Amino acid sequence: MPSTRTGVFVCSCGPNIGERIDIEKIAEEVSTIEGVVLAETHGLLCSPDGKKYLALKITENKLERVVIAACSPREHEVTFMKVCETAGLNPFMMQMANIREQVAWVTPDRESATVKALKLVRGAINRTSRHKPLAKTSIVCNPEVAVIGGGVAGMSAALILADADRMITIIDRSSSLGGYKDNEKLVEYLAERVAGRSEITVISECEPEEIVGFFGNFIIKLGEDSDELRVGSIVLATGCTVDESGRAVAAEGFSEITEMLRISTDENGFPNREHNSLAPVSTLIDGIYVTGCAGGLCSLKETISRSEAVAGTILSSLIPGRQVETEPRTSVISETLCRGCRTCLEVCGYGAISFLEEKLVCTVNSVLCKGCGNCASACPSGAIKAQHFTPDQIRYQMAGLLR
Amino acid sequence: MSNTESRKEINSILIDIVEKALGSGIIGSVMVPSRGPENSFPWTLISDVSALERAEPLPPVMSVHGAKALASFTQSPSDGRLLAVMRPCEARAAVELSKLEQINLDNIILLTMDCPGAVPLSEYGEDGTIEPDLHHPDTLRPLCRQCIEFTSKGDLCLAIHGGLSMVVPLTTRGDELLDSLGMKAESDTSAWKEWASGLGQEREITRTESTDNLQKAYNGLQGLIEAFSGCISCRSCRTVCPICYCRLCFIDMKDRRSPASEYLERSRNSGATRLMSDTLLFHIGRMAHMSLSCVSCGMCEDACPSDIPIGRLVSMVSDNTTELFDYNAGSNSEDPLPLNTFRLEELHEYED
Repeated sequence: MPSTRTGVFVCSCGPNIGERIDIEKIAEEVSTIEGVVLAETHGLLCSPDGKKYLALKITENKLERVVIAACSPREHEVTFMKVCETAGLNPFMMQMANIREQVAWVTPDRESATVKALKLVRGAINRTSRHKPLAKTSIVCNPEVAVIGGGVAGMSAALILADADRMITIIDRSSSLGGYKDNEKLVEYLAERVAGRSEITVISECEPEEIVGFFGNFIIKLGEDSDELRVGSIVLATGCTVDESGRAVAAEGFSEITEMLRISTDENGFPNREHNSLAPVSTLIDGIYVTGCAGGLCSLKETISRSEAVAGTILSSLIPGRQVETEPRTSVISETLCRGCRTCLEVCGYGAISFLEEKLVCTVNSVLCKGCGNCASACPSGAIKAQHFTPDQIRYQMAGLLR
Repeated sequence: MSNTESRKEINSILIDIVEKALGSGIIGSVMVPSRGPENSFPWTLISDVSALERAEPLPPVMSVHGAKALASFTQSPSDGRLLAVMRPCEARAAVELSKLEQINLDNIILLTMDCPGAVPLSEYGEDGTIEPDLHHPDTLRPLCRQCIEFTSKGDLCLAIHGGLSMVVPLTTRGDELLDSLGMKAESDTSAWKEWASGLGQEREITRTESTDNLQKAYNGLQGLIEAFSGCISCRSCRTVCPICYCRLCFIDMKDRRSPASEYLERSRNSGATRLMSDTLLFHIGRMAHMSLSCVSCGMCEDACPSDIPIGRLVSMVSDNTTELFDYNAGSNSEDPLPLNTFRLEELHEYED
């Protein structure tokens, strides 16, 4: 194993870890491992003081690898990755060992908890020896907006956005705009104004076939022959309908759209919101908003205010020129090893994999890939590697754990 | 009617059908084994009727699996209509390979027959006189002796038992071909079906006996170590397997190799370590990868130079895994591959 300058930091997490595990012993034991140049404990690494201390230690000791034995990565991986970045270390050279949730909180006996924690830390140290720096990239957001559904809700949102010079595409499955024509005069008035705006394109008799992407970069496929529509944000304004029992439920065909977008819905088919009072028009996915009766039966007045809220949210977040970071931990497919069996296509939840007919192999769109690793584990040929979760890295981690 | 005659009989009927299909232009080409030098039977792709002279649709041995031959050139759709004449287990493997996107069956029709079985390669002498005999299981490969899928596979099947001598359509595609060849015959197939169910029952008994014996002989991890103790790591089983389609096998991947330090440490820790220590991993790995699509064709066992009952072992594992998912490899092209199918509720019995 090439010796690298590795620093190990064991966090006491206040009393959470320190009271249940002998962290001094862990620091002492791992300090003898080849490559470990520093092994220290700290009271609370995620505190402002802790972060400062960590950054200082990284630069002072010219650390090339960092292992942090603390809480679950879900809690503070991002925190510590940022610290590494500020200290000039590629954040993917850091590995966390979860000795809080996986040990301190579940293993009552101090001695066996210490043994178990030590194994996890050894695994993490071993793993970092196989880490490679990954580059973060960002792409510019597309400021355009797609509105699905051309009723009062969709049209009023589109008109506000058009006033702010945004380009909008309204997609509607009927042949003319209007939706539920409760107030014909209002519908006529809005349709006329929409027709007069060069910023608004209306595609009628059309439903989205496939939607992939994320905030700032959605790709909507409208059918075999038509071009792809690229937008930064999507507004759902498809209205609702009433079922046999008189309940208001999501419009027919809406479930196909929510499935495509992978947004969760309630028992009536309406999308769940980020927060019922604080973010009532935002779905759980960034960049996808809901207005009018598509979010549940509401009055005309309420519809207009929901659309105003949607337009306001888009204008304040999807700012032209804004950049979003893409996930660096993506999957890559080896063209040499791929047999084109397309198993990966079936398991990808992000529409990130496509099959190249001319080469008979699959390929990953690194912008759409979220690095979940489904494809890598499903590939029977071992042709797919999930970067940062390579067989090599997992193997080394296991070897450290089992030693 | 002795079985020798019936293999010859099957061959001549099959050639008649192929000739008709090819001659009329309804089929562009035919994939069929032909008689080569030294009693060999290479797969051939025939487009001209005159080349059928050497065709031997049902050879006494299986040297290269038909589905493997078909997969070698049909991953992209074939532009002409192709008729592939195969044994039932070869047709089933072709269906599995189409699900794995290695064969595009769009323009391919699979014609099978009542299969008499095949002679073990090791016993097929240079003179090539041994004939597979349905009624004498001793002449057959071990997997053929316990085969329960010996008829009615693919799009059409040539039925020669139960007093029949006719092609039975099994799919609409098969139906259409018979129709266009003017060969559609309305005939009573009940005696043929009775024959199949009778032989199937006999074979089930053989199969159960064989499984019981294997389980007794090779029980648990120690049993498996014994079973594969003679393995010379030639990987022939993998090479001849129609379903093994990876370009690089997991066992040969760099990621799986341990650094020298690990071997040395293992040796220091326990006093000694076996080198080429991956025999069991290879076989268990293959079982895990193949068993859901295994068609029990017996190619692996026929190829094994160490007489390991590898085919029967994999087939036994396959019985268990396919039962788990209520799946039958190659029997229905509409059934999705179990490992590609997500169900929210399943396999609770294996939790905890």
